[in-house]
Amino acid sequence: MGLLTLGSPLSWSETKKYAEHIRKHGILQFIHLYNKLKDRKNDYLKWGDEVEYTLVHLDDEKKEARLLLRGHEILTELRRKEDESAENLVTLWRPEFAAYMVEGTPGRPYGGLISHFNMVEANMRARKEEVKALLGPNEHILCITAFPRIGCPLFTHPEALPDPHNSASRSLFYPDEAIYQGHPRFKTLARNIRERRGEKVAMNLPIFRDSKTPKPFVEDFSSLGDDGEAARASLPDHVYLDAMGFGMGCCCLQMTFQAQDITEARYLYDQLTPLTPIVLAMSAATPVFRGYLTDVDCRWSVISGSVDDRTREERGLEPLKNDRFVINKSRYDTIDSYLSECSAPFNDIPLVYDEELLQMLLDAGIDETLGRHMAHLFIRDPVVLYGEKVDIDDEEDSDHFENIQSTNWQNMRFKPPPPNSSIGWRIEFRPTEIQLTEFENAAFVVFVVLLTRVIATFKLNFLMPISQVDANLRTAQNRDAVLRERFHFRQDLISCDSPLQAQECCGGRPCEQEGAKVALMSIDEIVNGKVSLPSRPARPRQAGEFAGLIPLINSYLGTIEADVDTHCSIRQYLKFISLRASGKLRTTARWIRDFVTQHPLYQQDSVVSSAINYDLVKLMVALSEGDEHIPNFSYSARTKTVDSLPPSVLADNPRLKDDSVLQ
Amino acid sequence: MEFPQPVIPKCVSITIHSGNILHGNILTQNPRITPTEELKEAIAQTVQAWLCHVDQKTVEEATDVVCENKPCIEIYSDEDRTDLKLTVKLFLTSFDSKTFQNAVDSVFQHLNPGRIDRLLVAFPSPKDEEISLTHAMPVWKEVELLVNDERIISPGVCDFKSELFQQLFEAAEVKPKANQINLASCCVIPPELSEFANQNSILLLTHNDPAGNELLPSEQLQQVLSRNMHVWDGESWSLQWVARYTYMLEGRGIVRSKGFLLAAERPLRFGD
Repeated sequence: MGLLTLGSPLSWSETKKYAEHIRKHGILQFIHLYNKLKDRKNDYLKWGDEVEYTLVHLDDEKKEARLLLRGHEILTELRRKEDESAENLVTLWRPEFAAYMVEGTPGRPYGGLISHFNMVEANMRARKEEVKALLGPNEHILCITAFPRIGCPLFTHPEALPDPHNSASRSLFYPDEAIYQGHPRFKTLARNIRERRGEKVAMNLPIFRDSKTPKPFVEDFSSLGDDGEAARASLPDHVYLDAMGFGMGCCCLQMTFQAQDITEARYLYDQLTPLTPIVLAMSAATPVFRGYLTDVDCRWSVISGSVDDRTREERGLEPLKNDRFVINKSRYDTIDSYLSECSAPFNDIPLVYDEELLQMLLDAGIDETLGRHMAHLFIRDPVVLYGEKVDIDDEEDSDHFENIQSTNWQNMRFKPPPPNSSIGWRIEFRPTEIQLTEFENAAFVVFVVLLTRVIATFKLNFLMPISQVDANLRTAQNRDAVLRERFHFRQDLISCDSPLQAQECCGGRPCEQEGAKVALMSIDEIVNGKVSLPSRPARPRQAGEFAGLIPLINSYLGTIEADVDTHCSIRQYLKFISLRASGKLRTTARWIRDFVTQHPLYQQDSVVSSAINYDLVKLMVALSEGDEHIPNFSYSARTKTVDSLPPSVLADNPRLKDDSVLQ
Repeated sequence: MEFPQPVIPKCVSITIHSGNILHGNILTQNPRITPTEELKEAIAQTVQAWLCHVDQKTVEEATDVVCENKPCIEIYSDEDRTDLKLTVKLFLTSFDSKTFQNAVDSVFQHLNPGRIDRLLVAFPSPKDEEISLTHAMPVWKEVELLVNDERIISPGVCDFKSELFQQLFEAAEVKPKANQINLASCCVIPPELSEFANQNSILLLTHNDPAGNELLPSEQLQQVLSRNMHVWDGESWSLQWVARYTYMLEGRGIVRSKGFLLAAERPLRFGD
């Protein structure tokens, strides 16, 4: 959601004037935070998830599905309790970019007991029920990454027309009314990104070629008010998108964990990075944009382009004159470097960073790896700034740091503690596409968070050259990647002895890149493992075999004491993930494709018409309520999820009774 | 390693301590490994490590041998120990309370843990009959003493059917706090057991161990020892008990260490 300070946002030209000031003070604020909090230790694991919801309106008479622009209204109601400072809230709510989105999190973090994993699904369900109580007839809440007809004519309810001449996005398709109205941040971002870039954002998604898809596929935008920009920016055989709303109006699922200390935070940040493409491929849910089937299954490249504020100079299209750097990526993309000093040999992407800022960080005693990470994030301009908040106390406030930090959107985020709180060093896992049901979303959350426990217990090492993670993330978005693609993945997961030891790697010797054998594997092999012979236990690993993420998790689960209900739920979550990885259950993206192409009204022309969309969205609502079951897609789950810890677990852990976590 | 003659020819009593097996990559090399194979692999690694630094002359004469993987044995400071939860699952091969006492003494001697946070007692399956309260009580009486002494904090049992568990709960002075049952049935707990557990705040936990709690049949122990030392070093051993322990950072869900301690006996050989 990003930093939501109160106040009046400045225009782009005014914001730009303060860029240096914000950058410099942002770094000073980080230095201050770092020095004050670098030794902070938190004994207990705390973690949480964020679910972004989409509000839709279904007109059963006209057979139309539209995005419901009631986000601000609903949110005001939802936050009434928070505003009244109620304690021990079960859920918390935040706005997101679009007027049809709301974001919900658990009221307090989950804790470090294995039994906490059994609470995720119930809490997610509680969130959905809370919103449902505020919806009228014909209004529904859905967990979908992208409404298939965003940007098509009259895709919102109430209706709104795009205003290409005056709106914040200047979009041919996306009206300002679809942007969240309750806070100026989002419209300001859209406008400032466009003004900084010097032109509209432009995303071109390859269209899915079907038997009657026009060859070439070219759209005429003049009737929409195009002044020629869209004609130039759009590519033939691609679906053209021209607004921040197409990207940031997508929904996803995120997880945040608090590490024991900064060292563990940096270690887990690194270890989870190679897993981001794997999870993206398994959760793929976005095969349709602006009413067309594309050849891509994920939202990632669209969001990446939707906030790409790089000028033509920065994109290398013109020689550098006004701008300082050629920058390879949008500010929304994959990370460019690992964070632990131990991981430095795997940082094989040249980093663009601000020398002066790096020097400030080094002078303050921050190590080079972390310094470069920050100096790289801080090459960006602030894209939203509030007049009241330009001059702040660097020792009390971290707004300028958060400003740049929160407008760098990557697959992982390293989050220092906010000043004046007891919160520790955290990392955020950000690639996961949102799934239709609470069960599926809980499964992905539990899978990832469990993996962090497994990694820390067995001291696993997933590191490979970061350029290969980039390659994997591009591959993960391809149509049916989970079935058809192969991914670079480290073979020997146990080569590093104790990477958690500060400053020591691999029992004294540095982690050599030569030690990392990387091979191409399918998602099935990575997640479910690869054995050359049917299991003969206790046999040492043969060449070409791979343990598999789920077998490793099961090995961990066999070692700890899970109560029966938690274990029952986790088993089902892992079974579901396993079936997605092997392709026995279709991804949401594949199911959507099949639904569209098999629909009686589909014309084999890649078009998702309003009528098809209505049937699809209606079925999605039924699926999310558990009222429908689709073969090879739905997983019949009967988990034992609960919204509070059973008395036996509480009685067993008197020391962990802690109101700061959900119980 | 080849052994021209037996390493422990006079040994009639052996204690094997694996230390922390998380270092040995047993679980990560082959995550599908069964609990029995995991134990056998741990024993193999322990013996191999022990043979590297043991004094052959001394051990040739010894009747009582402690075979341990010293570098893997971890002792925790008081500060560290407060955050760690020690769980011990004790696989008994008899209902004899003296053997149980020896096992617990051995755990305290080799792990020096101060206390056992959770003890799970896995009784053997008696031949030709169902296990009953009469079988379990002698050992349970010892458990009660240990709890009253604060050497055990939370005691539990394994694979007790609902009726037996209730009987124990009613008869015992120190009540069992947990019942560990096989994973395979974690989604289908018998309702009587489930209800009783709810009403009395009993933890129902899971395990993946073989039915009947025979984690290591004596023949398989003999095989592992024979394979890793001289063939006669494995002869005639009769397993007394196995303790599988884990130290867990419970507030963070991280296992710090996992290991095995076991004791076996055999009759004197050749009378020399």
